Amino acid sequence: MDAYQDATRRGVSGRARLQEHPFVIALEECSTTPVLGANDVVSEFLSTHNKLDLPINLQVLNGRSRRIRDLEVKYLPSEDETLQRIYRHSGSSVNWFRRPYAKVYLVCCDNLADYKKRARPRLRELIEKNDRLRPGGGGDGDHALSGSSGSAANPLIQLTPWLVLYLQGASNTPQTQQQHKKVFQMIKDDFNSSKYSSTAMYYNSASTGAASGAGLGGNPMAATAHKGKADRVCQLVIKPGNAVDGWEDLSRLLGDCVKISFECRLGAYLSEVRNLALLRRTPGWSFDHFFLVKGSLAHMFEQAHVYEEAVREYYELEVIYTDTLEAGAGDGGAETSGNFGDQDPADEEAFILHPSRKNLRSLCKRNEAGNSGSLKEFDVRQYLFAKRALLMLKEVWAAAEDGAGEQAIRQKRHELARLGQQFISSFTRKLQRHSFRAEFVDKWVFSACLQLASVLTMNGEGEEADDAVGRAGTGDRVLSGILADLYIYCHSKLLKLGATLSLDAKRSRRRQKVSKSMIFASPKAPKGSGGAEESDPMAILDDGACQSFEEELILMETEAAVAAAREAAVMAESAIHDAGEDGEDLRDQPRGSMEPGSSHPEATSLSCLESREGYNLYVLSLAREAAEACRRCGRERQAVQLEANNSDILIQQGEVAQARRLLEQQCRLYFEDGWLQLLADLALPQLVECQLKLGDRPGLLSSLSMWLTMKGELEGAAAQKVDEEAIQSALEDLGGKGECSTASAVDLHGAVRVSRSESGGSDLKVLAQKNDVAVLAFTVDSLFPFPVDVKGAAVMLSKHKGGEEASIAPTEWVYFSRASDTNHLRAFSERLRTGSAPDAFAEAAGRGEGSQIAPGGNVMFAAVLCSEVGKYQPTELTATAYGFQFRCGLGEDSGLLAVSEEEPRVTMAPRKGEIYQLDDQMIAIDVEARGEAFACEIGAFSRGLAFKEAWAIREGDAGPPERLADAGARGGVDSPLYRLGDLRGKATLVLRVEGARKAAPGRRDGALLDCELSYTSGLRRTLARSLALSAVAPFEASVVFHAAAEDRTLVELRVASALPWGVVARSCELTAAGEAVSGLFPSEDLLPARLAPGATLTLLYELQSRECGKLEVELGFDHEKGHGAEPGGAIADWAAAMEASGIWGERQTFRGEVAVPAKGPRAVMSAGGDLRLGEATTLTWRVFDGEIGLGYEVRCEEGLWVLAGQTMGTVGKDGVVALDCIPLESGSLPSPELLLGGEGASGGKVTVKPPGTQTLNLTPVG
Amino acid sequence: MFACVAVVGPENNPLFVQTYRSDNVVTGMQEDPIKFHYILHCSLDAFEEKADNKDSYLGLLYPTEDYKVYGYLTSTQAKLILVTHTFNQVKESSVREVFEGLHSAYIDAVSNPFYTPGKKIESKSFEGRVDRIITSTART
Repeated sequence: MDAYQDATRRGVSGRARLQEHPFVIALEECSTTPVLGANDVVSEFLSTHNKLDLPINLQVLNGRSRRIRDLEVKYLPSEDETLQRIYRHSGSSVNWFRRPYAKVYLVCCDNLADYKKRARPRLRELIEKNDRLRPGGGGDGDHALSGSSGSAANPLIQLTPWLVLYLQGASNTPQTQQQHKKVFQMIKDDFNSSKYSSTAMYYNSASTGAASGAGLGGNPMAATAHKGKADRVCQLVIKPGNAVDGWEDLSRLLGDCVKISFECRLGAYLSEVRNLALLRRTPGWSFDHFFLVKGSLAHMFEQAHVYEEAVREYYELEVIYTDTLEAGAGDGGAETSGNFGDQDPADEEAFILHPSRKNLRSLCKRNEAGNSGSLKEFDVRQYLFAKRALLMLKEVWAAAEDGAGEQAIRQKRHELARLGQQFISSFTRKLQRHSFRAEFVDKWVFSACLQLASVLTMNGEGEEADDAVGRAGTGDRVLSGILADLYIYCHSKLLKLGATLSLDAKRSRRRQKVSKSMIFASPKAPKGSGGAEESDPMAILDDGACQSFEEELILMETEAAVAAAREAAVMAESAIHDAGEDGEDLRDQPRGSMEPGSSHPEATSLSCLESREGYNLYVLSLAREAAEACRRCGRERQAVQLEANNSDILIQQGEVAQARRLLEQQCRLYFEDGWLQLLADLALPQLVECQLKLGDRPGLLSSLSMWLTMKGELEGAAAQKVDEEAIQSALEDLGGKGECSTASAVDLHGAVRVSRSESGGSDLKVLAQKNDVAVLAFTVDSLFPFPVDVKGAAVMLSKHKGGEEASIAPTEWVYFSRASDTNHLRAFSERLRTGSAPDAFAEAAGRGEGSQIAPGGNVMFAAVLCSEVGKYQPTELTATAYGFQFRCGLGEDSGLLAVSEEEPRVTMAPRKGEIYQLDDQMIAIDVEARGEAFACEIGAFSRGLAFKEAWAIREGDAGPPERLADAGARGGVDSPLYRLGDLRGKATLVLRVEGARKAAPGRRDGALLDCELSYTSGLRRTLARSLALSAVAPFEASVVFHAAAEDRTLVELRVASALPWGVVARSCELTAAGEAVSGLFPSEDLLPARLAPGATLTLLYELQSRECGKLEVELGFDHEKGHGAEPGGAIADWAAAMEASGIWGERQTFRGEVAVPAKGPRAVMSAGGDLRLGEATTLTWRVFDGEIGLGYEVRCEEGLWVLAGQTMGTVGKDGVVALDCIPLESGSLPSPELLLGGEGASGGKVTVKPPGTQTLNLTPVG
Repeated sequence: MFACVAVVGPENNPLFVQTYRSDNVVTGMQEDPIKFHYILHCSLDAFEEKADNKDSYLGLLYPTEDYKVYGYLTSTQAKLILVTHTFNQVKESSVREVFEGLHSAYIDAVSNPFYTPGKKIESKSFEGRVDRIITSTART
């Protein structure tokens, strides 16, 4: 088909070129020396200068003018046979346009004398002869009007403007040049003179642009006479080297001549046409002559490149023709098939772009005058449209060459397209009305559409089809739409012909039905009508336009004149065509002859009906062209369907892959639009057939998915159109033949529906923290009738960032389980919840579980390690099945995964950073889980310590402490791990530790308690903490020495418990120099004493002698069982753990030494009476061993006492210090205190020494 | 007179397709409904071409060899389509009236609380109403 279209385009281009008729310029030699044919320089110059460069303003119709450039001219010597024939027959209006538009008198003289003697007389003779033909002048026989009434009324037809061209040869000497100048000046003096005023008028009016003879409606002779000289002499100067000067002047003068001739003839033609048109109702009037004259006028317009006017002439010709036919029908000559045209098989091929295929002008000439109706409407209509179409095409090309805007060019192209579309449509109806055979009509429509579409895709005259196709229509939706309509109509007709001729027999019945139902959008309702009634372009031509045209005509001619003119015209036309002298005759060749300008026989589109192969080729090509045009104008559905409808042919030709591609497009289109009936009935079964042939596994699965998705909505037999078992077996067979890869994943559509929750709800949100393993559960409903094994499944999560999809991450683990297997589901979900998700998925995969989508309901677990904070939306499930990838989209209610910043899941903190110098003791560690932590294991390590057992006390658990099982030693560390198990909320771990007895108190560096907690929260995780430990003595003891008398000292022993649990002091002995110091109170009354954590035990001893040096203290105690351990109390945890561990009752002894203060001044206080509130009592201090001048100071707590007397001074000789003291409060008050010291060096101040308090270090014994 | 009536949803999916007795011009046999589905689907392109039309009634969308297709676009982008035989000279006013009646029936059908938007219209009353509209127009 492409070849035919190319040939059509070439033919149109060639015909357009051949119809370029140049204006004829007659050359007359007036010299003794022959120039034409003898002077090569002049001949060469004339052959190359055949276009008038300067623009010419041609007056056309109704005062309008056209500015024409590059008018082509053809120089013919007066002796030329062609010119002579033109002259002989130029009297007929049919041939006016062929007459020369200018005469050029060539003068070539050597000197002035030669000119005067020879050239001037000859020149004058010729000019006078020519001027005798001027209006009012007497014509000679050769140029007499040929009886045409039109030419008789317009004698200016005979006028041929002339000019004198002086040829100045190459001058070698100044004298010669001078001679040439003189000759040229003399010629100008002779022929620019007012002697030739009758023609000068036209010259000057042409030059000035005023209304000339072609005032077109008025008599040019009536124009204002111009008295003056005219410029009609020019020269060509041949320079050395054969260069020629003077073309500009010559071109200007020729342009003037052409303008005058054109306008005069135009006026004459219009008058002639008007007369003929108005006489068409008179008896004997023949359309043939009118056809010739009107055609000649159109030719003249075409010569002058005024295409628009030429188109108008043909349009008017068609109107008159229609009117003539109607008049004939009204007179009883009803239209018959015979008048309209025969159903000649040769006419089946339209010639709507080939006006010269039937030489209608020759037909006119062959018929006798008055034999109206010799032309068949079938031919005339096509001829007229072809002429108009070619002219419009030339208009388009000319606009493109002139650089007209794209919009203007498009507009012209649209006009042609619409005109062609309307013509085909209306002409088809005409054929049907005239009872043409359906096959004939179909063939004609097919070829006409194809021809029109071919030329509409041409870009320019010279451009061949390959370049033109796809460019002319690209981006032009209107033109593409018309092209699509044409191709579709053409395609439809071809299918019909194929069916008629049994070329289309193997197409499936279904396809045959629908492929002829494709849109044919011509004719469309006119824009704005919005009505149901289609516009009928032929009706427009037949009625309204004709009437309006008729109104413009003016009745003024007589029947006889018309008859004479017609006869003369027909004879003249015959004479010229008989001679066959120019391209015009070549154009009017009978059908079947060679295309002018082409060595190839004329192409015919109907040749495709000769064989099935050719037919199929055309059907495919047409469908492709139509589809492309449809796509360009936005008709995607039509495009897809056009192509897919030919899948039968492709399959028959073995191009199954291409058929599959087209059918896939069609299936996708139907599926997406929801036209399931079409999908199931028309496209899908055929697609499956192709896929089975090709072994296309992805395609088969895709088709099956599509089918299963829509199957539920189909009714009746449509639900059985696809053989699922065949697909299944094919898939399984093919599945064993190795892996295959696909460029894109197969969409499973609704065959596998994946959703987050059956109840739906877009607010379904999974919260997770960074580094969590988030597990999403989906329901997966499979419509597949068989289990589908999948690999590499992943749910794609799209991350949203500011409303836009930022990135997509796949889940790392996916597990499928049948929804009905609830036990299995529960076990796996529990495993996921409590264990490590990766381990759970890996174990399942190891067992071969979780990789099969069973028919019906399934549950899918998809887990992802949340490595980045953000919000994620599950979008689709991807996996591989049968060796290729597939995907299932998730609905919008697929929920959301929100990943926030990571927070500690478990915290762990040792309760105290101290270790006690005890054999056995407990270290408590507080642990808290936010959420749940599973399979917790805890261990602790510190150098030198041995961890013996561990106990757990969980928050809210009122039972006894839970002894933790030993999970075995950790690698490289001599410390066991204890199994804590699952942890929710808070718990206290109490570890029993041995080996701290010899720890050095107070050392903080180097002693570390390393704690480690392993747990599972999605992943197996470990939390490690390290704490600096310091060894602490369990008791803090101090001794204060008080002077009770001169030889007695009270020893105050204070023991405070630093242990976090309660102890019982069983014994406390104070020995001095190996002897026990007796207590102030019996020990039996005080001990055993219970010491709560932080409590202090104070014991008093009386020391007789102060000469002992040092005192030894030995303290024996037990851990107190349950002392102070109220439920929820501070030491409840310890108590419970210690009770459980059984470390009670092991008596421990601590010992320490303290030095007795050296002998020195001391004072003993005594009161003068009972102390009463607000009453003064004298307190007396007796100072021993004091030196004279020993300073003292009495201090008391402010607000408790009022001291009266000297509170500061020096001790007197009597060694007594007395003060009156008034207690201000009742109760046990700290007594005022006497401080003794040396006298200060300055200001008489006394520096006193406080009583000594000594710290006692108690260390374990043994 | 009318060969097929259809309602196509805003998503271009068929909501209601009703075919009437229409004999093939050549064979004289009852046309296969699939042909009308095909024609209806093709007409969706024409709807898109004329989407900027201010009037709901879009007129003749396109003629095929045997049928003419008329379109009507509601404000909710639902498409009402009528298919008539080419040889039937249908007046524009008649077609417009049919479409207006169908539009009214469609509004009532989708206003039914038991109707799920976007799904096929399977209401018997709607079907009956459409039949009445078509037959009454054919009679006149």
